[in-house]
Amino acid sequence: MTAWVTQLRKGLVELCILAVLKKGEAYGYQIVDGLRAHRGLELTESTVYPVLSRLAKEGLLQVRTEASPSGPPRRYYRMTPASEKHYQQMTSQWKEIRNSLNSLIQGDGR
Amino acid sequence: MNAAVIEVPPALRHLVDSRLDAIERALLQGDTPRAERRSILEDIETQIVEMLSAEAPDHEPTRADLLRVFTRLDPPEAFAGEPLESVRPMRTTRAPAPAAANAPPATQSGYATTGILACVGGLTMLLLGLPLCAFTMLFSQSQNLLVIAIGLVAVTGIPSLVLGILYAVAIHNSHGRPGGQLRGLTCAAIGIAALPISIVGLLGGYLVAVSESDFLIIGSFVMLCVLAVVGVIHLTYRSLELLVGAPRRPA
Repeated sequence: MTAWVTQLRKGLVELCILAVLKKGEAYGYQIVDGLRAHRGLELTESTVYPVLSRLAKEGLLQVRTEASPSGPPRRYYRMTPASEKHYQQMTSQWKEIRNSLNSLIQGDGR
Repeated sequence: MNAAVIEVPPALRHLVDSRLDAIERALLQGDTPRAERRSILEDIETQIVEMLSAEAPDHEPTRADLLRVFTRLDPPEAFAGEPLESVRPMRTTRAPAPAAANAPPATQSGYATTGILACVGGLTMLLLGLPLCAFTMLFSQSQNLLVIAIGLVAVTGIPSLVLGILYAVAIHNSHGRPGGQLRGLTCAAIGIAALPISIVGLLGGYLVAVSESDFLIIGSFVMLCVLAVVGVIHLTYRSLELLVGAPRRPA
């Protein structure tokens, strides 16, 4: 069951990250922390950072580096017009899947 | 989280670096490109420093503080896991496998236009061109009709042979393709086999015409009928499969 939950979360990482960034730019740890605040979405850094990096590489996220007075520079991620569009498509697909699954689970689906 | 961020004391720096090195090795195992490794490591370092700041807000962080932070992080080997596939529906994040790249797009039921065309071409030749040739050679003396019949065989046979071969290759290449495996090897087989069958049939018809043997005439006619019946039945089966959907196989 744990493996199933892990796989399910992994499939939703991209959507979760974009949902956090929809509220505004954030750096990696902020995103991880923001997800941790939602029960069931406790995605860790080994899952989130590679996806952030890939999305940035694909041009779906814009990266801004801000120097830190003491620690390493923070990499702030921000959505681009392409990822805004992508996010809209993902959310509408997610809603469709959620509704269908709810209908199936509740027994009125065919 | 945005509280004052402390600097990692020099005495602990090597521990942080060792941790980051271990993560980089894990990322290398997972074939993560260099640029992505660098950005991931920067994000992790930021996180370590922030967590350490929160762990020791009022004193210089100690080795114990840093080790406690490490225990709350994913182990380095967690970064070597299989790369996550994008969940986006409209674009793929990676190039398809070279073999699969040549596969034509499947229709909803897993067939491609190439396969359907190969099948239709092959059956047209077997059911129309070949009987017409046979009829012309056996029962008609019209040279024009014979030229038309042979033309029909050539026009339908050669393209369906080529399409059939292409489709068979496409089916082979579609194994493991994300978009689903192509089906309809029979379509490819019909496309490929139609021309050789017709050539054999025409040669047989010619021999029959030359020998004027009733036995050979009846035998050839029966063979053609059998081929036509098999072809029609199979075409019907495939058409029904396309129309009403293939029987479900257990996953």
